[in-house]
Amino acid sequence: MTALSLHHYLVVGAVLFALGTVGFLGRRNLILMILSAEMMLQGVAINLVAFARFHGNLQGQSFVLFLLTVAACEAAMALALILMLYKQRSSLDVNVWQDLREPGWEPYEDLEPLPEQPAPAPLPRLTVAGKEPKKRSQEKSHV
Amino acid sequence: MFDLYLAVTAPPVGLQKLLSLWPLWLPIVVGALAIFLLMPRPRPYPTVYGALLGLLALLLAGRFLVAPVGVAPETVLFYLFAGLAVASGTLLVTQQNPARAALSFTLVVLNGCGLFLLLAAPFLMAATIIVYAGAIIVTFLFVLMLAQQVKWTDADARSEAGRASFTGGILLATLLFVIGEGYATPSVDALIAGVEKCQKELASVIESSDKEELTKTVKDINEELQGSEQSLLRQTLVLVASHRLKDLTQRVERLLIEEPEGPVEKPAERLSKQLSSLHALLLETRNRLGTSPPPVDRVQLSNLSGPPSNLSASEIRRDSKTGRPMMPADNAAFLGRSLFTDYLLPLQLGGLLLLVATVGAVAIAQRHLDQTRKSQAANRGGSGGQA
Repeated sequence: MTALSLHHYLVVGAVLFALGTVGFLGRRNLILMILSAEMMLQGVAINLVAFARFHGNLQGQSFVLFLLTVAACEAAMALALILMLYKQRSSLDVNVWQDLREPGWEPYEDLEPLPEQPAPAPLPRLTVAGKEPKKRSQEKSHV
Repeated sequence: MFDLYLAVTAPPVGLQKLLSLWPLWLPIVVGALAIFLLMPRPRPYPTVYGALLGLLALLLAGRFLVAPVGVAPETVLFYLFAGLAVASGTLLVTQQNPARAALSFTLVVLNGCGLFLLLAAPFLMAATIIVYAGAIIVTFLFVLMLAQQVKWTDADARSEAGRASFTGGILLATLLFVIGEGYATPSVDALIAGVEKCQKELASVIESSDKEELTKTVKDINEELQGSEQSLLRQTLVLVASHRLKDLTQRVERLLIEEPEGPVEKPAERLSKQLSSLHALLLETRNRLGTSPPPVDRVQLSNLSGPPSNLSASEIRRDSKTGRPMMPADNAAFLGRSLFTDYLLPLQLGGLLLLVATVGAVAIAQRHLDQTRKSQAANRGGSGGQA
């Protein structure tokens, strides 16, 4: 019987990395794009820890600590930028910013209309507990 | 001295080669198709098709991309964590609601932490849970609440599903091909299984101490070793193991020729000793496959982060069952020693980076507020002047 090899862990890291690429390229929500980039970092971290395990020293794990630092910085900066972008155009769509593209490129337009979506569910209303007080105008005295 | 030599062979890639690589690209194609079907778009396909395809891709990947190994607690946990991580990563990419996507990212991180624990990194597991699942995800959810929209919009309901999954599939196929060429262990695994079989046979022969039986077994072992030597030479890159193997086959042959008479036990025991040393060497080879550390006499590596990776095999303590190098039990203390000796300057720079990023984030988030206030004030001033 054999145990797991380095190859197994590297494959998991590569799959997470590729999934992150798909999300970053395919999705149009700014926050989702950043989340996908973070997932790519997670795949790389698994790779580094696996190498540390199979080399028998802690260098890979130290690298992952630095990776965590950089990921935290990146998330902070990206979220601050996203918040500012949202304040300017009140949309998280990355396509809203396509006027930043190179000159000479055709604008990207959505041709297919979005389907009708159900109206958002109304906010929950609490049932009245106890007796409803009378309005001020109906009260007899204002002592 | 245990040196590994990488024999880089690059045969021309034709259609034949591509077809022979079907275990590699079959799960990738199915997975890319599943993601294509699952990604949000104006006219969505039923979710069931995508989910079923995704499950099929996960099973295919577990069968063909990673070599299946025997049932052990570590293996079961590995498949559990890896499968859940990939599944929740797919959910992240294909989820229409960003808040749910953030939560599935938490799942990815938690399962990744499970893998960290399997890889003997408990401190990193805790740190990742605190930093990622704690701090970063909460920030994401906070921003999502600030930028809330009642209905889903173009950003959530549209995606470049086709092109993105095609690109991702190509990237993954390339990565996995390269990783497989360098690190996949099927030939060494077959050899280890063969050697284990030989050991068992030999042990039973030693007990029965039958001369004819021994001759027959030795012949069998010789054939087995020669067969696996061919496969080792064809595929893997490790010269030392194959040299040792060749040496052993010659010795086995000599055993047959030179000592036709005399007691059975002595040569058989010698052979069994050699077989067990070959077994240990093969386990070690399996764990060092694909790594090519610099030679120890030319490059002096620091030993403050644990034993340097270019030490000779005999100087590294290994687990005798799996052949993996031993890690210090006191993970956090040794990680601290590594950080404050080998990586002292990078550590300080990392701290500086965090400080700069914090100041930058505050500055960016603040600037727009100031500007809007100023423009609002200017507008008010202008209208006041007109009135």
